[in-house]
Formats: sequence, C-alpha cells, structure tokens
Amino acid sequence: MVTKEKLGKALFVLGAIICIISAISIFVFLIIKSAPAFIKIGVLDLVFGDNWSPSVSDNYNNALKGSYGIFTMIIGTIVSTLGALTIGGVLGYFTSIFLVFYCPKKLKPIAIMIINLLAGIPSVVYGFFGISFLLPFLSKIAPNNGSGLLATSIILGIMILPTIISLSRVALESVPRQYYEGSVAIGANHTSTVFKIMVPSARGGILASLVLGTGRALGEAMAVVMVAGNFPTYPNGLFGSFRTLTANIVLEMGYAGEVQEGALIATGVILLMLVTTINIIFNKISIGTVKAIATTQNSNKIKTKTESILRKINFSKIGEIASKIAGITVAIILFMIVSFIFVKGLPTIINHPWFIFGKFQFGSEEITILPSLICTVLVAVISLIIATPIGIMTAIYLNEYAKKEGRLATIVRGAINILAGVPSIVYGLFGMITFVKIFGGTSSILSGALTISIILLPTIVRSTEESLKRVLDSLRQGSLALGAGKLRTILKVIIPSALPGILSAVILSIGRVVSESAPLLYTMGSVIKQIPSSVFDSGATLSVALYQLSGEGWYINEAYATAVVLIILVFALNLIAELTVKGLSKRLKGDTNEGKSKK
Amino acid sequence: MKRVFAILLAIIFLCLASCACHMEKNITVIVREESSGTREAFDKVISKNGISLKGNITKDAIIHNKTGLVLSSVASDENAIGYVSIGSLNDSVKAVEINGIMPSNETVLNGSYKIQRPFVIMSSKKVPLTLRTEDFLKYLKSDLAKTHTEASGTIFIEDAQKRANEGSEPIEILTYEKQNSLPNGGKIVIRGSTSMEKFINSAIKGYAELYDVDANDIFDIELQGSSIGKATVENDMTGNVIGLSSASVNEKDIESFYVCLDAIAVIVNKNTQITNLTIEQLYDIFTGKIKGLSEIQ
Amino acid sequence: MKENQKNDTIIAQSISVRDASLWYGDFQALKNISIEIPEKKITAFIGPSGCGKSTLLKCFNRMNDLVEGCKVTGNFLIGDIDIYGKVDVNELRKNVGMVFQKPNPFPMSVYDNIAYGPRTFGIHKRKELDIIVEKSLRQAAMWEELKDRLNKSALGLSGGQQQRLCIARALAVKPKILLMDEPTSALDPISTGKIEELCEELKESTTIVIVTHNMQQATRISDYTGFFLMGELLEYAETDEIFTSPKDEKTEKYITGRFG
Repeated sequence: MVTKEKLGKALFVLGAIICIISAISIFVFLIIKSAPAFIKIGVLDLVFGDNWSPSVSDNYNNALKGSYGIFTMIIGTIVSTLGALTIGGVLGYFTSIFLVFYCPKKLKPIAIMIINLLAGIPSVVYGFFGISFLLPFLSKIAPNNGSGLLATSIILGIMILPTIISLSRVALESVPRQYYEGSVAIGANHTSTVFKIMVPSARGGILASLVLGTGRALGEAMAVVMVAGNFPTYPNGLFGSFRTLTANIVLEMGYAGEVQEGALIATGVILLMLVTTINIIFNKISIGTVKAIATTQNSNKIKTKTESILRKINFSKIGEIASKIAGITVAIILFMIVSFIFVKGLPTIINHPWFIFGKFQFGSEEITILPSLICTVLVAVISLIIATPIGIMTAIYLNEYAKKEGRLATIVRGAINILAGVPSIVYGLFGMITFVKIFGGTSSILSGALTISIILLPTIVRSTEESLKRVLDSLRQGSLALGAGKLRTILKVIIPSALPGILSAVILSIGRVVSESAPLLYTMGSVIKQIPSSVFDSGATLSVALYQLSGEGWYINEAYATAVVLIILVFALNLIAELTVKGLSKRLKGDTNEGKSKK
Repeated sequence: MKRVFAILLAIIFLCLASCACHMEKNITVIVREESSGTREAFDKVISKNGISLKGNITKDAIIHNKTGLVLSSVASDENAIGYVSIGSLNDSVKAVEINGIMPSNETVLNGSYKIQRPFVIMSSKKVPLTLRTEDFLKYLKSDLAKTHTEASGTIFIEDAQKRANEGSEPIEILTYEKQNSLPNGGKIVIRGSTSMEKFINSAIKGYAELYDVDANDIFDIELQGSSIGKATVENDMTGNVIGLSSASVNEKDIESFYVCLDAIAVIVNKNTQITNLTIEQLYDIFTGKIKGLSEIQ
Repeated sequence: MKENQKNDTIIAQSISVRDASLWYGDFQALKNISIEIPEKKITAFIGPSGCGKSTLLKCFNRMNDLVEGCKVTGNFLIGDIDIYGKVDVNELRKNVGMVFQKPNPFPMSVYDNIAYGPRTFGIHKRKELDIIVEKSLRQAAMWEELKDRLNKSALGLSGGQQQRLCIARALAVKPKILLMDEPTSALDPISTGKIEELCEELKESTTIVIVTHNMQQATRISDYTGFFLMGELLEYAETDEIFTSPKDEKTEKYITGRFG
C-alpha cells in the first residue's frame, strides 16, 4: 500500500515537473537560439534600431548586409494593442454590464453562448473577415485601402471582446446581492445602483479581464498580418502601413536566412518579455486593487468646480444607454461576421460535394479539405493524449498534495501562468526550434501535436484544478475516515466528482486545437496535400488550410467554405461541452442526492 | 473610468471625422515581404538612374506574404498597384504594359519584357540520386515536360545555352523515354518556391499519369520558399530531394538547370484607366514619389 | 425611468394593510392580512421561519418587486396613500428605510457609505454632506467611535459596527419609517444591546417595524407585536398583552417555546 501511495504521488509530482520544464525550456531555447543574433546584430541595435531590411544571405560568419532593428514593430505592437483595448475594452465593459443588468432574462443564456462562440472562432477567420469586409468598408473613409492601425485595432478589439465580456461578467455577477438590495432600499434606482455600487465593486475583476485581453491582443498574429499593412515602419495615424512583432515572425519565418531567422526568434523573445511584463504588472495591480477597495480614500478629495459641473451630466444614465448600445453592437458584429462568411461559403459546400469528401489530386482545381480534416483530428487526438494526463496529474498535485504556499506549488503555478500567457506564435517558434529539429528537420504532425499539447496544458490544469476545488472536503474526509488511502480517495471519489469539469476542459481544448494556426504553421506544415500516412508526414489543419487558401487567390470561395466548416465545428464543440457538463453533473447529482430528495 | 471612456470615444470620433475630410486617395502600393523571390526579382529590375528599388520602397506600402492577398487587395481597391507572378494572374485584376510591352511568352523569351526571372530545378551534387529521382529529372528536362506544363502558363526555355548556369555545359531538350516500369526509389521530396507551384503540380500530374500511379504515392511536395528548397537540397542524405528556386542558383553543392522563365506582371484594379507604365514611373510609384493616380495620366 | 406624472408624496408615518395576499409563483406566502401599524411606535413581527413576516415587511418598501414571479393583492396604505399605486418606488424607498439581516455596507469608506443616499438624491455640496454624515452617525451613536475613521473602508468595521453603520446609512435620507429585518441575528449580545437602545431613541421621530426571532427582544423594545404563522397574522396586539395573555393557543405555545 505504502509503495503504491508513493508511486502515485511521484506520478503527480512528475506531471507538475513537466509543466515547469516546459515553461523554462521555452525561455531557454528561444534565448539560446536568438543569442547569436543578439550578439551579431547588437542588443541595442536590434531592440532600438528602427530599420528592418534583412538580407537572406546574411550569416553569422560574414559582415551583415541587412539591418535588423525591430523598434518600429515594438511600438506598432504596443500602439495597436492600446487601440484594441480602447475599442474592445469599451465595448466589452459595457456589454458585460448590459448582459448582467439590462439583458432580458430569456436572451441571456443565448447571448452567453454566442459570446463563447465568438471566443472559439479561429483568428484566421477574423483576419479573413477583416480583409474581405472591413478593409473595403474602411477604404471609403481612408486615404489608403483601409489597412493600418484602425483596422488592426478593430479586428483585435473584436477578438479580445469575449475574454473581456466573460471575465467582467463573472466579476459583476459575483458582487454580493446585498449591495444591490442595500442601495435600492435607500431609494437609488436600478441604473444608479448599477453604476455607483455594482460596477465599482467589481472593478478588480474588470481590470483583470482587461489585462488578459491585453495579453491576447499583444500575441495575436494571423489576423493582424492580414490587415496591418505590414511595412516595417512606425504607425502613422489611423491609416497607414505598420508592422507588429507577431506579423514580423509570420511574414518572414517561411524563408528566412540564417541571421534573419535568429532575429525573428529574437522578435519572439521580445514579444514574450512584453507579455510576461504585462502579467507581472497585473499580478502586482490585482493585489493592489484588492487593497485599494479595502481602503478607499477618495472622500477627502477637494471637489473642484469642474467636477461639480461634470456631476451635472448624468453618467449613470449615459452608462445605461452605452450598455444597451454596446450589447446591440456586439450582436450586430457577430451577426455580420458569421452571416458574411456563411453567405459566401455555403454555396461552395452545397454545390461542390467533393469539397468535404473528395480525394486529393495534384494540380486539380477541385480543392478538398478532407485531408485537413483528418490532420486536425490527428493533431487533436495526439495532443490530448499527451496533454490531458500531464494536466490532470499536475492539477491533482496542486490541489491534493501541495501545501498552499509550498515552494514547489508556487513554482508550478508560476509556470502555468507563464505558459498561459505565451502567445501562440511564440509556441510556434519554440516548436520549430525543438520538436521539428528533433524529428529530422522537417515539419510533421507529431511536432505540431507536441507544440499544441504544451499550449493546452495551462487550460487543462486550471480547469481541472477548479473542478477539484469544488469537490467538497467532506467527501475527502468521508473517504479517508473509512480507511481508504489518499490515492484511492483521489481515484475513486475525487476524480469522478470532478469529471464533468475535466471533460469540458478536454472538449474545449479540442476547440483550441481546431482554431490555432500560428503555432502549427512552422511546426506541422502549411501545404494542403494528400491524407497523411503517418504522424511523421506534414500536413495542414483546417485553420492553416484556411490561411493558405485565402492567401493563394485562386481558391477564395473554398476559403470561405473552409471558414464555414470551422465555425460549425467550433460551435458544435462548444455545444457538446455544455451538454456534457450539464448531463454529467445532473447524473452525478441525481445519484448522490437520492437520499436528500426523499426528505 | 466612465469619464475616461467617454473622452476616448470622443477622440476616436474626432479622428474618424478628420480622416473623412481629406478624401483625396493615394495609390495603395502593395509589395511582397522582404524575403520573397518575387520581390527580389522585381526590386532588381525596377530602377531609376542606376538606383534600384531595394531599400527605397515607400513607407506607405502594404506588405503581403501571399500572392493571393496581393491579388484580392488589388481586386478590391481601385487605387491599388501590385505585382504577381504571371502564372498566378487571374481576371479579378488587370496586368499593365511595361514600357509599352505586355508580358507574354514571346516578350519574355526575347527579353523585351523586362520584369522576369528564371525558375530553377535543383538537386544534390554530393549524394547519388535514386533511380526514380534521376528519371524524374530527365522527365523535367524533356519535351514531354514542356507539353505537360504548357497549360499552366509557364514559359519553357528552349535555348540550350540559357538552360544551363553560366559557364556550364548547355542542356538540350531531349525526348523522354518512358521506362518499362516506374524506377525504384522512395518518395521524391519536392521543396522550394511557392511561385512554381502550378508548374510543378502539372509536371507531377503528367509524370504520374505516364506510369499510371497515384501522384500522392510517389511524391512528397511542400512549397514554402526558395531558400527552404535550397537548404533541403543541401541537406539531402538519401538522394531523393528536388528543389525549386525562383531565383538564380550558384551554390557549389547544388546541381541546377533553368527550366522556364517567369514574368512578373504589374497589376492594377480593373476599373482604372491605366494601361501602360514605364519602369521609371514604377520606380516613382513604389518609392512614393508619385502619390496619386492622376499624376500618371 | 418611468416617472409617473403626478406622484403622491408620502408624509404620513402610519401603515395600514387591508386584506393583503402575496404569491411567489404558485405559492401563497401571505393570506388576507390586515394590520394597522401606528406612527412613532416600534412594532415587532414574530413567528417561525417561513411564516411570512419578512415578506410582509418587504411589501412596505416594495423590495418584493425584485423577486421574480411575485404578485401582490390588497391595499397597502401609508397615511392614505396606496404605495402600490401612483407612487415613485424610489421615492417610497427613500421614505421607508430598511436594515437587513446581514450588515451590507458598500465597499466604500464610512463617509461614502452614508453620503451615498443623499448623493443619490442630489446633494453634492461637501458642507451639507458633512453635516448629514455627522448627524446620521450621531443618531446611530457611533460618531465618537468613527469620527477619525471616516475615510477608512466600511468593510473593516466589526459586525455590530457595520450594522449600526447601515442604520446610519438608512437614516441619512431621513426616512419616516424604518424597516428592520432581523437586524441583530448575526450580532453578539453587546452589539444587540446597542442597536436596541438605538431603536428606543429613534422612535421619537420614526416609525419602526422590526422582524425578530428573539422573544426577549420583542418584549424589550416593541410597543406592538404581531404573531405570524403559515402566512397568516394570527394575533396582533400591544406587546404586553400578547406576552402576558395571548388569546390564541398557538401564540402561547410559540412564545413559551413549546412550538413544533
């Protein structure tokens, strides 16, 4: 028995250690691989140089012919993220208020489901929407074709909406109801209660949602590359070509020279540092806001005249109207994206049955996505086989074995936080310089799946830990009191109770595999070809195929059709996840609550 | 927080309003990314007073890393100008004459259409090639490949001297002799330039049909760029790699021959009046000296 | 907001309920209740859990409106104004203050908590607010305790202090009637004592209706007591009378602790 217990614990610790190793190795490998470029180009010239004109023939042994400064892109990334935050932040903030306080009861669950769908739509689809709908629209008011800061900010803003709305909603919903009652009982009306009491009470959570949104906007690659314009220069006004760090990697990694490749990995390192800095600042802030809420001090402020004038404007009223407008706007945006893609893509699917079930032929005009579908399934299966056990083991270690403030647990949590924040394109770089190299230098399904499995780890660990936390302590004590060992308690009592949560995490992870494209581009291959015969073959998943098709120009209808298939797939997965959780938890409760219901 | 949002919203609207005021449209210059072979070839040819375009492209240029994105951007924007390989040209856009000459087989072959580049087939010099790879190379050099690929819009080079690298033996177009059965060897790995996709796809199709096999079973093809093609040939250990490059090749370990020529077509929106541009005008447009379409007419 | 054109203004301090019933969906929580609550007295509602006493209390400031599927019939009059008639509900709640079972100070400073009500009704001048805050805190007998901590978070106060702060917060909008829903059930005896004292002082100017589970508390502070059972008002009389010579057998059982 004792050895079994020890073995079990060792296994769980192993999972945790794998998480730590993954987080560390991302930094280590990227830094090692970019070090020669940093040295050759010079750290200052690379980071603060504003001229990027690489030469493919540059190598580390000869003098450089090109220049490799990425400062314009650092600025581009920061400015476009701020733009996204302005648009997505404002819209998301008010939409979440709308959802919680103004949305008709019947509409709310539908609205929430739709917002989850918005979160699952692959970034390529957003980019595709941007280039085929937003840019032509903006070009009417723009001096150019519409691409540039505004288009990028709008697309990024829409993309971070779901993150901001979902988290802000949770924050608003968890404000105690007594606050509401207290305020209403004094005679304050609904709107002023919402904006004077409820929203201020939730500001910690709302801030957190904005920071997470920032992280996503910083790291987004595939959509940005389609609408930013991409000239390596500073953003100049709302319209005008500029380039972000992520776009730089996507654009040039495909056929980069030696030094260029190093400089691109260095770009990834800088991006990684930006994101990590934001996360660290956020952790500091979030602790800060908790304190700030506990000790408010604004009542001593001397009220100036301007403030009393401002007070005459009824901000609560404006807020109410803004919330309603935001709710409607988000609905319109989603409707536009989905209907635009469906209208353009459905005819192809209906008229060309070979599109989904056809056999791939070289040089044929009859494009089929069957191989891509199979690749997607393969990657999903392999990456889940790898990530699920490691993720669950880590979560069990964290929740059942680790001491709350223990050193290892803190490190594991830190590693998970870091992994969750790493932009997908950086994962792609990491996969390219590790797995692809290990498996003989060519991209393969296995490399892609390994890369994706690291991406999935934080999600699985976090959701599993959440569901483990929700298992009542009385269950644990009950089992232990019967003399069952810890391992047995975990396997027989705790995991089954946490199963719905774990399963939904797994299903949502499949959604993530379906929608990711940036990390697969340079690890798994991007060419649409025949059905793979082994996991060492390369191949394109659906999202990558969409990126490829939308880029080739000859197959634009097929691209729309692929987008339709993707949206349907993601929607179905979301639905399945929801139903599984509902069904399973009902069954679990039904079984355990039988005694209660008799009373 | 609400006040900050209100102010930000106001700023956005102001900016939008100010942009809407100056409606005068600039030319949208669309180029390929820095390491693209198409861009390299284009930048080399477009020059003025001996200064080439490389490094002087206007900062307002839009950069796309896909031919399709260039095409769809030009198709949807009346003020756009861009360039694509002639094989990728479709009727969503309009190609213009350069110095009065339209890109076509003759004008490219006789050199009067200036913006052109070679398509190169590469193989390893270091390792012995498999029988199958050897045979496929023979096919690519033959008259049969010429007939099979004509439909893809490629401009086959017939001059034996021009088919070889400078200083090498001329490479004649021979008649392909079909073997009794498909020669032995593993899958032929094909890597390299995306611009050559149409050409190589029709060649592969023709070759597979010749031996009545499924192309999927004997080829492993993935095109991500000329430099990857070069690198894969250089690292070839098994003798079954064929590389494709859309720029001339001079590496010592690589055996190469020029299979066809590619014209880079300058494309504009179908609704514009422009039909002819000079190299100098192109230089001025792509460096941003000419800003409006009206300055051309 | 839907502002009624001609709103009746509440000036009286007595409540009279005539034949009131209330449903939560299909469940009838109040059955034909009629009661007269006199002004400037303390009236206590007692009865076992789920008997409807809190429900009735929440009708007086229409907090039941927040509950979905809640339907009310009968007349609720303050003075001679029907509070379910042409009354602005926010105006009503301003005049009929409420203190909850669990102290619910807002996550703000002590000062802002009290100033919240007056600010809601348009008082923004610092000097006026200062006066109201001090007056309310003095009324709640906590000015001396808190005058140096006005800018500290209200969440840092003890449970008893929080509840008295909530009373002060309710007083800041000068209610004519104060509803208290088991205000001391979460507090220790000393805090409870302080709040009871406070009630005694407040009835000089305010009508108080208090729901309580504590028999002693009812006898200590209330002038009138109503006993509720299963949504019905079984007995309503002066407190002394109810506790010394209850007319109903069930009332007697309950107050002597021999119930169910």
